[in-house]
Amino acid sequence: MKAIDEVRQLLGGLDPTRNTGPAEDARHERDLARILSVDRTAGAAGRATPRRRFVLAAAAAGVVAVAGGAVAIGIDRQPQPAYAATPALLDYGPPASAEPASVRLRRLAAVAAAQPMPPRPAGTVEHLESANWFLNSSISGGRTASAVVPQQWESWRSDDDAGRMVRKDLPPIFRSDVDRRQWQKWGGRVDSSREVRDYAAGEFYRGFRGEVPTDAGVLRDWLRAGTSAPPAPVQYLEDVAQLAGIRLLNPAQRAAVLTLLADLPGITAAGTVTDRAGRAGEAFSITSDAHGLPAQYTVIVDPRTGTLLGYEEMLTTTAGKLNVTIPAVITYRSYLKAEYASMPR
Amino acid sequence: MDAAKEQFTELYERHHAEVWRYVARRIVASDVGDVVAEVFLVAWRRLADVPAGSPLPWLYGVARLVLANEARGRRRWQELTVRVAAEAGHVIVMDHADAVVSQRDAAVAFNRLSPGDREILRLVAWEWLTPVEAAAVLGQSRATFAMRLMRARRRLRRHLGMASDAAGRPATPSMSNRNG
Repeated sequence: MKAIDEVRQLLGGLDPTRNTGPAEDARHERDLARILSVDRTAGAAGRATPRRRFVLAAAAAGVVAVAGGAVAIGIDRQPQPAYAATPALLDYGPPASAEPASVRLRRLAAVAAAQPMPPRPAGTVEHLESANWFLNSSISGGRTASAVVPQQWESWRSDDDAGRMVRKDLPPIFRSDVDRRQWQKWGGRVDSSREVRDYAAGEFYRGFRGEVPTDAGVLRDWLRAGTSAPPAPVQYLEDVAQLAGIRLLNPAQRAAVLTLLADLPGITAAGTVTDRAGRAGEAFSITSDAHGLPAQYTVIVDPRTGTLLGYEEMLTTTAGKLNVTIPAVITYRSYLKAEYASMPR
Repeated sequence: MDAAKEQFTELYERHHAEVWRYVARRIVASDVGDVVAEVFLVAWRRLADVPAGSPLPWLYGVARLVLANEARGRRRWQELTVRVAAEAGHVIVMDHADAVVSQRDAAVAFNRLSPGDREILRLVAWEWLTPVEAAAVLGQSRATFAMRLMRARRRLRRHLGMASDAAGRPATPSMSNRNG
C-alpha cells in the first residue's frame, strides 16, 4: 500500500476537527473588516510574520490593539512618534548589604522558607494577579506607539491544571501631555474588553503544570524540561520571572526559586528599589546578550518574606534596531497578588 | 472595493475554513481564532506573494510560522494532543492486511513521534495534501519530503508494533483489538 494511503487510513480518524469547523460568523466578518482596514503598505515588507498577538481584539475599527499593550492608532493617518514610549525607569539605590548577590539570595531563601504556608480554605484554587508590559508587542512593521498600555493578568488554576486567564488593558501612560493630547486627538482608544481563556484539566500553561518543585536542582530541571539546548543562565531568571506570574509559590517553592537564582553565574546585587506598585524590594540582575542585545534582567524581591515582587528587562548599551532611546525598559512584570481563592463562576 | 481588497476577500472567504482547521488541529481551541486572523493579516500584507493557483499550501506555511513564532515568555500556544475519546476501541482495518489497529493505539503511537514526524503525517492525513503541496508547506523539495514521509511512516508503524517486509507492507497480523 502506498505510504500516503496507509498514513491516511491509520490517522484519518484522529483528526481533531472531523466533527467541528469554524463557528462564529460574527467573528468571521469582523476579522475580515479589520484586516481590510489595516494599511498593508505601512512598512511591513521583509517580515515573515507580525510579532503581535491578539491583533484584532480592538473594540473600534481603525484601532489595532496589541498584546502587552501599546496601541497603534489610525495607522495610515496618525503621525508616528520617532521613538516608542517605554515605561519609567525604576530608581535603584545602594544594595541593602555588602554581601555578594549569591550570599544575599541564600539568606533571603532562608527567610522565605521560614514563612508560614498561606491559608487554603477548602475548594479554593491558585489566584494570581499581575501587571505586565512588553515592548516587542508594541512595535511592528515600523510603527511605534506613543503610550505605554500595561496589561493586567488575572488567573485561577486548580490542582488538575484547569483554570482561567483573564487579560485586560490598563489605562495608558503617556510620556508627556503632548503625547496624551495627540492620542486623544486621533481618537485613540484602548480595548476595554476583557479577554478570557478557559483551560480544561491538564491544559493550563504548558511548561508550568503540576507541582512546582521545592528543591532548587529539581526546579532547574523542571524549568528546562522539553528544551534540548542547555539554557543560558539568564534564561532561568526569565523562566522564574514568568513562573511567578503564573503559579502561586509557597514558602518552600519560593526558597527553591531564590536558591536557584543564587546559583546563577553572573547574578549581581542591583540595589534597593521601590517597585512599580510602590513596594520596597531588593533587586538582583544578570546582564546578558543571550537574546541578541545586551540587556539587564532583574528580579525584585521582598526582603521581609522572600516573595518575588517584579521583573524588569532593560537595554542599557544599545537599542539595536529597536526605536527606543537608551536606557529603556523593554519588559516589566509586577506581581500583585498570589493567594488561594474561589474559582469564579 | 479596489482590486486588492476584492482579491483578498475572495481568498479569505474561500480558504478561511481550511486555515481554521489547520490551526485547530494543532493548538487548543481558545487560541485558534487569533492565530487564524493573524495568518490572514499576513496574507493581506503580502498579497502579492500569495500564489494564484494554490494559495492553500502558502497559507498553511504562514500558519506554521505563526504557530512557531512564540515570542519568548510572552505566549505559549497550548499544543493539542491527539486524543481519542468515545471511539478508543474503534478499529482501523488496514487494507490488504490482517493487521488491525485500534484508534487508541494509533493515537498513542502518533503522540510518541517527534514534532517533525507528526507535522509531516498531519499534512498528509488531515490536510490531505499531495507530496508536492506538503513539501511546499514545509519549504522542502518534493524528494526530501517523500523521504521524510517514508521515515515518519516507518516510525509510526514501529510504534504500532506493525512488522513490515522489505517492501514496507505489513507482513504478519500484529495488534489485536484492544478495548478501553
